[in-house]
Amino acid sequence: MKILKIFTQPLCPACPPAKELGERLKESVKIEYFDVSTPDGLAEAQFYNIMSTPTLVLVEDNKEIQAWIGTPEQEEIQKLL
Amino acid sequence: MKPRQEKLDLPKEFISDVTDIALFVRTSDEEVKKWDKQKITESLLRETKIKPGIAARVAAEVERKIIDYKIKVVTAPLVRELVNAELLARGLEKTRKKYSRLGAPLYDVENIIISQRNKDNANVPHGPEATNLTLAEKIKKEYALLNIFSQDVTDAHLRGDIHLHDLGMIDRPYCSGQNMDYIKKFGLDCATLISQAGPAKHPEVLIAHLIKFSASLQCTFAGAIGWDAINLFLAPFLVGRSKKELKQLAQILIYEFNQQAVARGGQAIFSDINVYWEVPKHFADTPAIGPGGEYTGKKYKDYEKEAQGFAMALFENYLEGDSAGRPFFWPKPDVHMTEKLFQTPNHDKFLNFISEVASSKGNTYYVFDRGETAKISECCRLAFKLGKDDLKDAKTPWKMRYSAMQNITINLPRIAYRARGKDEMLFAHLTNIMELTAKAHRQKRLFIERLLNMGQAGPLAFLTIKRDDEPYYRLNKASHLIGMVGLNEMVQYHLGQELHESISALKFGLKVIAHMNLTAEKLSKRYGLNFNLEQSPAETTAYRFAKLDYREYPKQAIKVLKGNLAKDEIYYTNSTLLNLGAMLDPIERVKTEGMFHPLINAGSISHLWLGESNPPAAGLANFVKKTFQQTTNDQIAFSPEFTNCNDCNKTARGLKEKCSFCGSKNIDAITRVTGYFSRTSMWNKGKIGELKDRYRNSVDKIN
Repeated sequence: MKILKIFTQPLCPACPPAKELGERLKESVKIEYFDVSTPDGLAEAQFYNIMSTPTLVLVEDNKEIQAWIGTPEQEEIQKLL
Repeated sequence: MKPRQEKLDLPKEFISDVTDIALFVRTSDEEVKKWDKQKITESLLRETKIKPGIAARVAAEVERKIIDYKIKVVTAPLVRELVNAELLARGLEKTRKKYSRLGAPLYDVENIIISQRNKDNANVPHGPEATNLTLAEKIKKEYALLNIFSQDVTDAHLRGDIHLHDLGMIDRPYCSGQNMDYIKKFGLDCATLISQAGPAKHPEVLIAHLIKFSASLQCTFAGAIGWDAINLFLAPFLVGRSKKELKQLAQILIYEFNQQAVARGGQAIFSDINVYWEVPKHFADTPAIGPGGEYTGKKYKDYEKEAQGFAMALFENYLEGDSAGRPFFWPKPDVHMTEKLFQTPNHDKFLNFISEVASSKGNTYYVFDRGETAKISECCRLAFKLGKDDLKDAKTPWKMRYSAMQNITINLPRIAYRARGKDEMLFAHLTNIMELTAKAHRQKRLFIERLLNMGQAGPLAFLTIKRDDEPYYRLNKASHLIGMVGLNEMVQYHLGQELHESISALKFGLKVIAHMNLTAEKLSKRYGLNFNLEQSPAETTAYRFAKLDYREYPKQAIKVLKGNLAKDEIYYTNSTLLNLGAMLDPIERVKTEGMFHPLINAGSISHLWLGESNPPAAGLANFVKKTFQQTTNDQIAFSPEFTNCNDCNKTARGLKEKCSFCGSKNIDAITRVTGYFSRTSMWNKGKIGELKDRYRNSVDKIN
């Protein structure tokens, strides 16, 4: 099953649009949010080599299909679902 | 102040004339003195501040016992033992602690002097100077645990919840990294030297200054001494020198560092030299200092050719090894891999050459500085990452002086044993132990600050010398290291799988280190100090924790301990490393271990054990490039193994039962212990157990 992982942090001004995009896509794909200022979020970020927020990673069976640094257009993600 | 006896409220028999007693005391001042119980009273008042009446009563009681026991030889240590027993009998435990005598039992001292090698550190040989170090460390260790750290910290160390490193060197900061421009600009000016030298005018002299300065630093720091971009900062002295001359100069530098076993404690200086092929961006436009401490009028970027020539010369020497063909143990060459390196002409030639050295002798450490990262590497894996202010200092490189104040390691498997499978408890215990670690760091820092505040009259005078606008030791830049041992065993006990066995185990391990990283950040903000995670070298600690846990938590520890229990060769896996015996593809190991590295600010490494195999340089170089491009790994090293014959003085590849050349069994096995090369005969049992388990990578997998 494909999962879209959205990495953000509370003080990041560019992060709200990434979360909004997640809300728009939640009917099409399973969404998981990670706050990198928490141990869970930071650990998951290391696993996928995330160096900045927001970053979105589409994965299947823990393997990365595509990653976006910054918030991409909704269509870019949708065509991979 | 001497107490006045007539004012004491004592029974008459306690005020007898001491000269009536025909007793003599062998004092600690190498004298035989007539017995005088008043001396006990005076020392109790001086050292413990108890009430004069009680002190006099204790003294009188001790005198009575000495007479009653008919003791023939009264020594100062014996008197103190009797006084301490009397204090305990009177319920004065705190007073007894203040009155403690530090030292070692006669039996231990004889063992240390005659037959016992120091196995806490494979870099300490056996000899009078080394046993001085061991004995001095024993006393200072006791002093630290009694007098510097609070009881809860001391107990946590003694129980094995944490390990306070280098307790025997409590009166020094841990390690240091600096820049050669300091010596070039100011000459050799150390409080510990009886003469002062002006700035060097010739490269041979500069190298001599570098070695002496390193030895002086070794006398003031407990651990490693690192030098930044050594080939670049030596370069202004090398203009016009032939290839042959460069090789000779590099040879002087390497041999001198290796042969400093005449220095502190008979111990070679744990030394690192950072090497760059390219001119690092942060030093490119820095005005260069040349002979006589004068600016040359050029920038360091103008000395790329000389710097590269010296880098090659260093590695030519490393490739040859010493006169018996053994690898040089020191200084460790930490070669930085940056984006700029891969754009610099002839980088392929250089990378291949240092990889030939890595394959043949193992010396090369590959340090990965991706993006804007810049750092000074040293010790087994320590790194001082340079922030914005530090990069501004790069315009005045002599100011770039960094140190770690102390290193404290946390026993992770024990936390899992106590948590009994509950995540919440595990993280709560981990937070608590990190709080305690921060407390221990502050206690050590307070002590060092006290010594530094004594300035030139104090024991750390060298560190208080002020040749620019700050003392040599920049306290505000000091890092406080928090290490970890046995993440693999912690996860194994908590989840039933080792880090390499499942993604959920790996992710849990990442969560533990992420939690530590965030907690260290919070502690830094709370106390205004730099708390940084570091992968502990844990040469002794991985063994010590395993042994203590097997004693205190046998049912739990037995499930995860590594090594050979029957031979007492047990250990925990170092820091965040994966099981050393797991047959993993090397790039997979480097990639997976590298996931932890961005969380560990103060340094990490992955080891690849080569054993007898001798992979082609091109394969190694390609592997290094892949590591740079495809992983987040901070540093890697390839470790071959050697057997050196003490009879025919030849060196063969691999660990052998006897010499491959003459058949002698008088041999030394040599390989990396934790982050440096040493003879395995000097290793502790835990490391011997680890050596047997190490998975040696096959040649075809490294490319």
